[in-house]
Amino acid sequence: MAKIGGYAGRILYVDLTRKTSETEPLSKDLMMNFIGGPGINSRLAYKVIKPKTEFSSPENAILINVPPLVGTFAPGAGRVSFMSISPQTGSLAYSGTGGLYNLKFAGYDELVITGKADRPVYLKVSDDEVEILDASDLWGKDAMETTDILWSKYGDEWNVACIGPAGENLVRYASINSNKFSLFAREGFGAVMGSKNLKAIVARGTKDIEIADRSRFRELCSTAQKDIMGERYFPAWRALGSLIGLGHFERSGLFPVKNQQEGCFEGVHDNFFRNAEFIGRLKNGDVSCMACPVGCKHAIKVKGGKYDGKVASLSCILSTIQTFGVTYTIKNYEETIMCADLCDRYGMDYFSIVNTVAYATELYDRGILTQKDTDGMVLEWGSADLMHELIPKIALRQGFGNLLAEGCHRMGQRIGGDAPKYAVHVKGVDTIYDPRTTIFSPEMFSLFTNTKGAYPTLQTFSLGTVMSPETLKPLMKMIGVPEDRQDVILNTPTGGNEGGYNVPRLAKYYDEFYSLLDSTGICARSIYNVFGADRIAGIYSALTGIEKDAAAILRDMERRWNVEKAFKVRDGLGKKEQDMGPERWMTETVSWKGKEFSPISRERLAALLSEYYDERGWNPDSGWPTKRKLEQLELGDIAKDLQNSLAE
Amino acid sequence: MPQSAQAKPFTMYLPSDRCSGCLTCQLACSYFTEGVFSLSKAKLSISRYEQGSRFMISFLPNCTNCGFCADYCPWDAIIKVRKMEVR
Repeated sequence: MAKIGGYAGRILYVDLTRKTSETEPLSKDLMMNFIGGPGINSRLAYKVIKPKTEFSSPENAILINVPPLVGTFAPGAGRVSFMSISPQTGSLAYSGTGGLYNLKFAGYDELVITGKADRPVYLKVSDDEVEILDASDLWGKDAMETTDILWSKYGDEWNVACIGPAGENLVRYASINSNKFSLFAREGFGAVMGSKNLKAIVARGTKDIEIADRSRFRELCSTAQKDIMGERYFPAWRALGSLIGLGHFERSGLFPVKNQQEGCFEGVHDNFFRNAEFIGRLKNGDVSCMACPVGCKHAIKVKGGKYDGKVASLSCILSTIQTFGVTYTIKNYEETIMCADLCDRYGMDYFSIVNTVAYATELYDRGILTQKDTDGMVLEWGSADLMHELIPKIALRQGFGNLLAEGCHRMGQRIGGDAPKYAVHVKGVDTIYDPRTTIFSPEMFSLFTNTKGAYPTLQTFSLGTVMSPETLKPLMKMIGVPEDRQDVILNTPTGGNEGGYNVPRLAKYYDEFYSLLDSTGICARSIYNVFGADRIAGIYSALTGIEKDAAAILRDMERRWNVEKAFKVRDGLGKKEQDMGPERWMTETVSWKGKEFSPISRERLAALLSEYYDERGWNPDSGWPTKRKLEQLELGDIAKDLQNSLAE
Repeated sequence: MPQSAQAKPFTMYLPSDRCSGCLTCQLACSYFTEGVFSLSKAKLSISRYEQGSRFMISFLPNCTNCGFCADYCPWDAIIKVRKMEVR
């Protein structure tokens, strides 16, 4: 094989206990069969993390992968992947965001951190120099202050990924902030860094990234960039970022309110969160991840009013409104943004903190929690002041905040009695969606099956949308669904409100397409419909010199999904009952716009899950991979490892 | 300005307030001038201001004014402007 482009070709292992680091070549097996991102991370995690490891154990590993397209001008390829044991799911989970691209320029595709430092430290990676440095003066500082200190010490061309006080105090939904605007937000990985006494990772590099076929790669990237910028929604994405989805989310029943006790209130888009106010009074500029022509992150500078002159870094405006604005009903633009800003500073995931406070507020309304439990606070829907009081208390685990820091699932278990039945989560991870009030699309179905808990694997094509065969056919072709499976998906409808196709069987291919975006480094937010599987395979092949067509690269992604599921099986998890939903979705009706929406019955969900497992070649009853499937995917060593658990 | 830059028929206009910090310009620069992707070999730099939320573009002394950074900038933050003809 000629030279391999895109990859730096090395893994950096850091042991914080022994204060050592070493490198190892990135094997061709990892490159060729797992591509990058969660693909390589999952395969390495299976090797380096022992079964049933606790998130806070020194033996837990942090795996950070800079995928092959990141560090090139492939448009929209700026996404870096994080994998570890999650404090929420208690097993392997993943997250991705922009930033930390400098690890590649320093000569590493992968950073694996194990052990636990005996005092606060930060990791400094500068080409071949790897140092574990004292962070006593940074401990206790918020994420923005920490980044400013490290940028002023080293220069703002350095990547800084750090935790705030919430990560230090092992809040189960602590985030990791990357260059102020990007967040590894979900799954609580900030607490993993905190458990290792690791305050930050800073990186810079001067090494080259090679290209196997320069002219082919350039041509493919230029065409992709033109196509993105010529896409009909591109101007709106530029102006609004993720706000582009606000009206659709509101109309499509994608905005549950008050811990999913009711559907969305009127006027989210037209009255309370108007685009004109955002553009005219709040937004100061757009911020991109590497090589992204869209720039959906926003520099905020408030003009006038209570917060006049206040500057904030906002990673996702839609999530801000969706959580503080809609779920907790804080119906004021500036107040929601200021809540998000405070949350970013302390270092916590918006979704989980709001869902947890919403859960507590419901328990308070029901009399399960009283002012004796809440340090005298009145839990009141829509109160920004309450949120401002609670955010620091949770991050510092003070008083009532210590209970909230556990997230809704564990909090419910601690309170006991009726409390657990009101906690809306799958696998310990709360959710921003309610599958009862919206179209039951593959996105909603994946809330149940995603290994990382109640989060859709892909939030794009059919989110809140009825799909006709005419729209599904080109979509399935684009994401690489094999032709014979396209026919099955269209001819065996599952009979919901989605429009007459087989949701769980299509969900399998959504999982794999999303994995392909994540594993090559392409963002799934806004430019997905320009990148089909064929185009991604072509760009990957031109860059790396490893020739892959869509079918081959998607098979690598199927391999990734099976490794992650096998990891769960090894942990004694991953069973069908863990893919079932929370009691609220399974037994309660919900009202929205004067209509009643039925629960999803356990029987129906169990039948849909069996179809999904069948499409994956897994055991339709247990939900576990079969030995045959693992062997077909050249994962014979894993099949052997799990031989006592798996069916033939 | 380097001699090679003086010979080009255009100069660069930098409305930096449009810059989103995507670094495509640096990647295009290193690709066309060095044949690799490298931020450190790029002949222009991007620095941050306003608490790290806005970006400033500046050319380094070794810039040859080739213009590929402008061709690739998706934000129109680097624009090639034709020089006035001098009679």
